[in-house]
Amino acid sequence: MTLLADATTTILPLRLYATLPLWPLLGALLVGLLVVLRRKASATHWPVVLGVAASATLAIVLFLDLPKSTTNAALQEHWKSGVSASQRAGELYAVFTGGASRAPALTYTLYNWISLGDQSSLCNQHWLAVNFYFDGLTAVMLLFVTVVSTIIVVYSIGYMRDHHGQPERGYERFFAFLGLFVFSMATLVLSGNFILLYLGWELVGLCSYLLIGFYYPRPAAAAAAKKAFIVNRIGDFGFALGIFTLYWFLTAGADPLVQHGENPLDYATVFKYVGALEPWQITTVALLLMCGALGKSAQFPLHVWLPDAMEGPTPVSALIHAATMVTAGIYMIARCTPIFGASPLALNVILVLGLLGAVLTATMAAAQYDMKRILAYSTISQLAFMFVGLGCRVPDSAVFHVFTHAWFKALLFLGAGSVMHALSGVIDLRRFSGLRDVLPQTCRTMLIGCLALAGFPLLSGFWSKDELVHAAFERHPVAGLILLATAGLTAYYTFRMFFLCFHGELRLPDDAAQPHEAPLVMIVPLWLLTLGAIFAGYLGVTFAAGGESFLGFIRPHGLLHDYLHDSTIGTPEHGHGGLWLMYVSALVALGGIGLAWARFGQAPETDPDARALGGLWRLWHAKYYFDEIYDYAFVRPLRNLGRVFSATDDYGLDGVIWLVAAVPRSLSFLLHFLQRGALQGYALGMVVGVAVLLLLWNLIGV
Amino acid sequence: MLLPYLLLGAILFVLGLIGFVTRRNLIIMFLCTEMMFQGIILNLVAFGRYPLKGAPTFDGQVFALFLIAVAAAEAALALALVVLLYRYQGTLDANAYRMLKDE
Repeated sequence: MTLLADATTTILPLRLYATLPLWPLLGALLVGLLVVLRRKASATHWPVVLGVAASATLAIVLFLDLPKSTTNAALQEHWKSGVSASQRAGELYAVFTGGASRAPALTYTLYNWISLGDQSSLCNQHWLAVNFYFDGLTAVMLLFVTVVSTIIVVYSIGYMRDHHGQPERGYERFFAFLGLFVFSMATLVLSGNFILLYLGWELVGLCSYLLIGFYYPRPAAAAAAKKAFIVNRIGDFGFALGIFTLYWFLTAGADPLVQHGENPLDYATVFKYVGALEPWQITTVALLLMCGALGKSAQFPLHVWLPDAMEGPTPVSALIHAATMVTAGIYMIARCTPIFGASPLALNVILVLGLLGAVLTATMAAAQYDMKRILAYSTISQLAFMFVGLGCRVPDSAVFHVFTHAWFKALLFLGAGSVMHALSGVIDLRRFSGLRDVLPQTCRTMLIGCLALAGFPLLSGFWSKDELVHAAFERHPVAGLILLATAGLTAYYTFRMFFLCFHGELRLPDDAAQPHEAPLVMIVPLWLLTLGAIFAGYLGVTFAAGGESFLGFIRPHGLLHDYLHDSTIGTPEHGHGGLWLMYVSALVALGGIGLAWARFGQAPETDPDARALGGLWRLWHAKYYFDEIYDYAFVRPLRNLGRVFSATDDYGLDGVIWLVAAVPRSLSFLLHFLQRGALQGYALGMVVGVAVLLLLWNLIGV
Repeated sequence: MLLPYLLLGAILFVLGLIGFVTRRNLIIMFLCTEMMFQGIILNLVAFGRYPLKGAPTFDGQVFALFLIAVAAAEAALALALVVLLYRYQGTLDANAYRMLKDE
């Protein structure tokens, strides 16, 4: 059953939007075909570039189209039917408790997929459909997922080549996987039910495995790929259980909540009935779903896979960190706001885990030398900011931060990739410095990316981060202070990295033959992302003069927030005021940058922090020994348990089977002496046998 | 008067059997199996003529004809095999053909 079957989009038909995920898949398949046809590798990027670009185009049009069709039509209907504005706001807010009906979203059903329920009577069947769900959240997610992916794919054309412009080994494979990755993420975002969401979720995990392990002959890359996959599996286990319990709670019993003819596990159905569940049921489901988000978004207990994922090629890191994969967890929790919002306990757990993760990973980032790892920890830290936002009931701000973060984090990763490309793969900050004259373009774009990440005023990161800090302050001052301090630390470690890389005297590693600026195909994507890093934030603010605005002309809470209100996120309560906080957080960011300048402005060869902080710094540098703790607490016991099982299999089970097989074997050994090969002997045996049988027959007298 | 026929059939069968087990020449052994066949066919005809209950039928004779046809076909096959075996080893002694044993 589609909601609002007659609703449609205005610019392009809905079924065209529904093809959005398929173009990158088509591209990936075409690349496979080209490989089979043994075309030259140097041109095999075209199908994927065009496929992803087609998706991006569709996503942009959808973003422009959607408010015209669903949102406004639905709103107008509300107005027409004489519902007052306050009532409407109340209704939308009621999404949190799952009570009232709300503005319907567009759903496009491709086909019925799985039949559930009573098989014997056709009319009782529930169908699980492959359906796509179009609302504000989908449009915002798709916008940056596809556009940033397109930019990254174009950048990869230049990155995945050696200094002579020849494609690396596995060039075609790389692009095919990129296409598959974008397809998976788009499916995840577009899906209209939990099963399709789970499918996309797992596909994203698979693609990350394939791409992190792209350089599979290197043991570190293979291990990192396995680690990412296994850690994600732990989270996904909880996620799957969450979906199962949700289904169970909604359909179990003599009088199930899900009515006849509705798709259970469809977002529309689930969010309609979730309010009718018991609080403990909602909390169970929410906590289990949260496990999935913890794994996929690399949050605190399960964050260990993301830094290791740096073993993949740099565009992959950019893709994982900015556009696909890690944003999935945030998206899922934002999408399930009606479930999470109804469970204060789950929200508190998310809040606490987010705060912990933000601080822990920001401190880890401050003591690393690997540029990509610094960025990886900063991603975890920023995702933890979003978790805090989700825990503070402001999912729209969290999605806003995902949106802005995508641009500048992709920019930073691609910039780091450019440095790596120039230095023949060297990324250790201790081995080079002062690259600003060697890589002028990279340096400028990186500067803007770092400023955006640090929360420099008027750049995109500032607006979204400030909203999260504000929300945390309203929730609890301690939470707000922690986030504010972490924001300052973010500015500090970001610029520590920047200064160590680009400032000071020019030092180059010995094995970097000829450092050179990247080709145009890599520089242009960097500048495009720079535009995003500067301006993406303005989608979430309003220009308005007056006393209540930052610097006299900008007010938080803009188009993007209005856009998200008609999605399943609903209308969270935003506090008013807090303008002083914007000035404070701007000061904190500037302070962090200033501190970094004071300590690392000349790119000293010995780290001043290591001396000043001593043991604490070593603890940060060793990442709080999380990997070692997990190794001792989980990996080794499990491996030993595995050895026990393996031995049981080899000696226990196989032994029993060997014994069973030994009985007929020994019997046959005894009997094989009778097989002499003489025909007449056999005949005699047969006669004697028949004679004995006849005798027995007579004796028993049957 | 069933019994004499059965006795004759049994004698033919046992003679064939003894011949099969004791003689070494493959052709003789084959002829012995034919003799066992005849004993059985005699049984069938006798039972058809003097059934244990009810009126005599032609069933036994039909069976006998059928068996004779089968025996003829089998004879053609077996004698061809005997020829081949002779070409193979130059002898028809059954003891020469003991290859089908487990080593």
